[in-house]
Amino acid sequence: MEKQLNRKGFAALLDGILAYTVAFACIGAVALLMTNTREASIKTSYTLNVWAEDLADAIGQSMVNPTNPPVSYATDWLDTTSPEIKAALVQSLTNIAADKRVSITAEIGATNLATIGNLSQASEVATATRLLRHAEVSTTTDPVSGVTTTTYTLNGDVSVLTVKIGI
Amino acid sequence: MTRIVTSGKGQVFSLDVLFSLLPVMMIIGAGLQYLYLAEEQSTALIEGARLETLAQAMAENVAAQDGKYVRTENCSELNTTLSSAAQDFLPDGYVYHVQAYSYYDYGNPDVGPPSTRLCNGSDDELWSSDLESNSFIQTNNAASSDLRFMLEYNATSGNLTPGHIAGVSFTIWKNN
Repeated sequence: MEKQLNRKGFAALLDGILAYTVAFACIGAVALLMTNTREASIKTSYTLNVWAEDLADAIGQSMVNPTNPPVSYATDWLDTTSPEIKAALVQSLTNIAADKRVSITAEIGATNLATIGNLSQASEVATATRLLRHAEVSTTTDPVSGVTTTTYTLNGDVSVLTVKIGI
Repeated sequence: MTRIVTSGKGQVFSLDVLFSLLPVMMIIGAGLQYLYLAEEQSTALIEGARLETLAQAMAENVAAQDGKYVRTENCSELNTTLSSAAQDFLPDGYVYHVQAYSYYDYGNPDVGPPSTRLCNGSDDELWSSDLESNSFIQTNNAASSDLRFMLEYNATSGNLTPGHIAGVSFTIWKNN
């Protein structure tokens, strides 16, 4: 009887140790798994946001007339004034999307600049916006010297450049 | 009330007790092994996070420069910025390697890497001083990289090249 009671107490102690060890290992495994999943999601979000900001800067800089004070072209330059810049942007964005397996859209107000891929199928999308200032272009010619001067004057209007990138 | 009396005689461990303890000890052993593996993985995660922070910091340092562009050739300015950034916040033993390439003149993306690599001039050393010229990454342990997009800068015209977007990749690793 006494020997049985000693053995039961020892077995109960082992049961407790076993239960706590298994519980601790299971909780640790779940916590580690959740941490890895969350960490990967945070890294993806950070990268997409940085890329969206970079592309918005690059597109916005492409619209600035380099030979004049930093004013932006009017929105209709996309199709009339500088179609080669639009074509270059589309080509660059297309190559980026193909290399990084992402979808990219760029819009100026309601005007679509580029659409590569399908953002609606992306699981995560990052957005960056920039304000483009409009300028009115005026050209004057000096009647005496015949020199033509082009002047860009900000008129206070702005357009919103929106860049979205999704994966 | 039952009185428990210990006896000096008798067997402490019987065969049936040892046999019943066997799965218990196996589970405890497996648990301890898992804890050890978790610790190793945590160490790797911490080092990986450190490398990522360094890569992002160097990339942001370059991207925050006035103009945010990369020259198509002779990237001496980029080299100077990188050397300065490395001296400021790269710890001892950590090295960097930077590559710049054009996404406008990309070639066929289905074939392979970008075809047009920027910064190919004689003064372009976009890597740490203790690395050989154009050496590939020697990842003894782990490396972290960060990619940023910038416009190309045409030194001939002295202006940015609108629409020509370049990718600049920053890689950091510990040089063991």
